[in-house]
Amino acid sequence: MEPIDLLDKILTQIKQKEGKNYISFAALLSKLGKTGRKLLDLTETKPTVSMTEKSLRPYLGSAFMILKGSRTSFLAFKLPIDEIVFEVLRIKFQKGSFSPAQLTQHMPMKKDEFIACFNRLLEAKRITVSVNAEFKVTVRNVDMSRSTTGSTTDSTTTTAVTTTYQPPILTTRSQTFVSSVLSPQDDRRQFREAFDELDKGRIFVRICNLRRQLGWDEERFNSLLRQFRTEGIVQLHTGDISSMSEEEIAQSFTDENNFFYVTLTMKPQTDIR
Amino acid sequence: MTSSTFLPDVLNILQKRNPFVDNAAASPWSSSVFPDVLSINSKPFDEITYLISAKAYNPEQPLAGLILGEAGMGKTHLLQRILNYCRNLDTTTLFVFVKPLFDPDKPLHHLLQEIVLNLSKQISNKYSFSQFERLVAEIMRDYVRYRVTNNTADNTPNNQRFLKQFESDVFHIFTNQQKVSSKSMEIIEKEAVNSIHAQVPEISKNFLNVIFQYKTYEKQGLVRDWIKGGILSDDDCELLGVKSRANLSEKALEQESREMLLSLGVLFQRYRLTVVVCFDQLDNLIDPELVAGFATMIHLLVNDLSSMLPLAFTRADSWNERFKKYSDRAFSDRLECNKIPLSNCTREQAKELVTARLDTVFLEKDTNENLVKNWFYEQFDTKLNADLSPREVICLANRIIRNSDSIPVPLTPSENLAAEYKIAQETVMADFEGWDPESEYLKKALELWLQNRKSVLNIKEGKGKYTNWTGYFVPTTNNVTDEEIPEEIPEKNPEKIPEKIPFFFFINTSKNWLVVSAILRRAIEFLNENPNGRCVYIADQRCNFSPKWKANELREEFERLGGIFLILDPVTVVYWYGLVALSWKIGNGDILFETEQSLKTATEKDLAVFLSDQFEPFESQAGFDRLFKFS
Repeated sequence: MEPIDLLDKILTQIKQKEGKNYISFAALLSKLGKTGRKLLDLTETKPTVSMTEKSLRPYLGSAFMILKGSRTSFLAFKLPIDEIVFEVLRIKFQKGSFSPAQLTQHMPMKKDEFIACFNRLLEAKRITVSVNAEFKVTVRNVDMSRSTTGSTTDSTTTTAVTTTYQPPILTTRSQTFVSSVLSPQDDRRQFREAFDELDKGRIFVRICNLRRQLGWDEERFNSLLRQFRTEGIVQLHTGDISSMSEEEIAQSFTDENNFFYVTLTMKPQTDIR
Repeated sequence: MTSSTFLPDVLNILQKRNPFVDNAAASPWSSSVFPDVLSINSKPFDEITYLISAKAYNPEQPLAGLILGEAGMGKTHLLQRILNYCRNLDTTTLFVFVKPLFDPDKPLHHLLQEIVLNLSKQISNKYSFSQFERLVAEIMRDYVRYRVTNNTADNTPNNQRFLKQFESDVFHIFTNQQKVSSKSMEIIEKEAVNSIHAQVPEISKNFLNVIFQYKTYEKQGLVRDWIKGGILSDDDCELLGVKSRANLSEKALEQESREMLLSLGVLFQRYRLTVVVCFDQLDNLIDPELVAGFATMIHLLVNDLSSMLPLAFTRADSWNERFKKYSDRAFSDRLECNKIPLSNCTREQAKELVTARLDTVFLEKDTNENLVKNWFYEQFDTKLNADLSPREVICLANRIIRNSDSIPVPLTPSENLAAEYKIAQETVMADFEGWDPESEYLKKALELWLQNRKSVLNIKEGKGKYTNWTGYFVPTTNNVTDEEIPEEIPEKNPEKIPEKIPFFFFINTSKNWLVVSAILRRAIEFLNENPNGRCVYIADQRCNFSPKWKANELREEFERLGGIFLILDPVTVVYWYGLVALSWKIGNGDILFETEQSLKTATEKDLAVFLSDQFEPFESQAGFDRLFKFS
C-alpha cells in the first residue's frame, strides 16, 4: 500500500467513527503500527512531533494538511478550517452540552484560531446562539443547509453547547446606527423594500432604477441616500454607464467629493432593523 | 506648533514624492510597488480560498466562482493575492489568468493558449521552475514510485534512495539532472508514457511525449506552441515528432484544443494539482457571440475539467445587464452558485491603505515623518465621510496633496490616455512572455488605428481564412484636404473620390510555410488586381519569415509587385499590444481621471479622440506610419 493511501484509510476510518476530519500525531502513530511507520520511514521508537511532521510532509499533496494545536499537531484532510470546526460542532451538539474549555482542548488549532472560526460561523449564520442571565451562550441551531460550496444538505437542528459569552464590540458604525433617527422610519422602510424589489440577487442595484421605483422628489431620495451612506448601510459604486441612457445617467448620484455613482449595495435587512 | 505652520514644507515633501498618483493595479503577474492591504476585501478572499480548498479536496465537485465588484474596488489586487496564495500552497495549486476573448469561433483555443502561457511562468519565487515543469515532474515521480513499489527487481536500495529524494522534492529530477544519465532518463520517460497511457487511455501518447520534451530548455518554446494549438513549421513538427496542423480547418483546430484541454485536465486531476483559472476584464465581451464563447469555456471547465476552478471577475453592472441576460441560464446559474461581492473600504481600511502608501515615502528615517503624517491624516479625516472604493480613497488622498496654492490644471482626457498608454506598454513589457504572437491582438490594434484615421475609408474585415483588413486610403496631399474626405465612399458615385488607394493588410502569426504561402498567394492576387493598391504583410518578429521556407519565391514575387513586409520587433510590437491592453482597460472602466468637476471614467469616445488627435508621437514608434508611406 502507498503511504498516501494508508493515511487516507486511517483518516477515513476516524471520520466514519468519530466524525472528525483530523487525527492527533500520537493517535496516528498508534494507528500506523510498525508496518505503517516503516512505510513512512518513522523508525524511531518515540518520534518527536517535528520528526513525524517531516516524515508526513512529502505525502501531504492536496489531500492532507498539518494543523498545530495548543499541545500537539494533527494530520487533517485538506479542508477549509471552518468546515473542520463546523463538523466538530455538529457532532458534539448531537452528544449533549459541554464547556468551551473542553472544546478548545480537542480542537486541532490554537484557542485564538478556534474563536475566530467560531465567530465566522456565527457571522455566516451557520450556527445561532442565545445568551442566558449568566452570560452563558447556548448554541440553538446548526444550519446544515448553508454551504459555501453551493451544495445543500438536509437541515439538521440540534441544541446545547455552552460557551463563554464575549460581548460584541460595538463599532462606531453600530453606534451611529443605533442613534440614527434623522429620517422618518417609513421612508427608511420604503427605501429598503424598493431595494429588495429590485435586488432579486443582483446585489448591486442601479440608483436610477431605485429612484424611479420610489418616485420621490430628488431631495427626499438624495438625503436618505446620504444618511444611509453615512451610517454605513449603503455603499455607492461607479457602475457601467456605457449601456445607460442620458436620462438614466442624470438620475444617478454625485457626492460632495464629486465622485459619480451609478449603483448601490445595501447591508442585509437584519443588520438594519 | 500647529499643523498649519509647517504646511508648505509638508506639501513640498509630499508633492515631490506623491504616493497617490497611481490608482490602478497593472496585472496580477506584475509586482506592485505598493504593499497590498490585506484587510481590504479579506472576506471575499477567504471565500475564494475556501472554494480553492474545497476544489482541491474534491476535484469532482463542479465548482465555479463569480466575483462582483465595480471598477476600482480592488479586483486586480485580489487576483494578485490569489496568485500569491497559490504560490505559497506547496506548489500544488496552479494559477492561470485568462485575457479577454477576441474570436468567438475559437473560445477553447483561446482558453488553451492562456492556460499554457500561464503554466510556463515561474511557479514561485522559491523555485526557478515553471508550473509546467511541476506537472512533468509529477508524472515522472508517479512512475518512479509505481516502479519501485510494484516491481521487486526495481526495489533496490539505490532506487529507494532516489525515490525518497524525489518524494521530498518533486523537482529533484531537474535539480539533479546531471546525476541521472540521459539514457536512464529516456528509458524512464518512454516507460512512463506507456504506463500512463495504459492506465489513462484518453491521454494520447503523442501528447505525453511532447509534454516530456518540455524539460529540454531549447524545446520549451516549441512544446508550448504545439500544446497551445499553434501551427508549427515542418522542421519544428519533425523535431517534436508530431503531425503538422497546417491543413486543419478552424473547426478541427478548435476540436483539437478541446482534446488538449481534456488531456491536461486528466493529468492535473491524476496528480492532484488544482488549477485556479481566473477571468478578468470580462466587460470587454460586448457581442453576444463573445459571451457565448465565454459560456463555452465555463461549461467545459466546470463539467469536464474536474481539476480546474473557474473564477470570473466582472463589474456587477455588466454581469446583471449583460451576462445574466444571456439565454444560457445554466451558464449564469453555474457562476452565480458562488457569488462573491466585493465591498468598499471601511474608514479604518481607508486609513490603513493611505498609511501603507505614505510609508513608502519614508523608507529612510526622516524626522518630518510624524509631522507630515499627522498633517495628512487631519486633512484626510475631514474628507472621508463614507465607505469608499480603494481607488476613490487614493484619489481623495491625491487631491489633498495637490490641493495647494498651485493646483495644476487637470489634464485633458487625451493627455491622460497618452500617460495610460505608456503604462499599458510597460505592463506588456513586464510580462512580454504572456503576450505570445497573436493575430487577433495585432488585428485589434490595427483596427483601432485605422478606424481613427480620417484618410482611411470603408474599413472591412477581409474575406478568407487569414486575418486581414481591407479598405481605401485617400492621400490628403494633392487635391483633397482632410476636411473634404467623407466618412464613406459613396456607393452610387465612387468616382467622386478619384484618388483612393485600395489596401489589403494581412496579419500572420503562424510559423508554417504553407500558411504563409497561402497568405502570399492571396496578397499577390490582390496586387495583380489592384496595381496601385497597397498590400502589407504584418507579422510579430517572433514569427518572422524563415529563409528555409519554401515560400521564398512567392515572397520575391510579392515584393516585386510592390508588397511591403512590416515585421514588428519586440520594441515595436509592444506599442501594438499596449494599444489592446489600453482598450481593455477602458472597456473594463478601469481608467479614471479627474476633470475640473468630477472623477471621470474614460470611454471609447475618449480613446477615439486620443487615437485621432494625440497619437502622432507614437505612430512612427509603432510602425503605423509605414503602412501608408509611399516611396
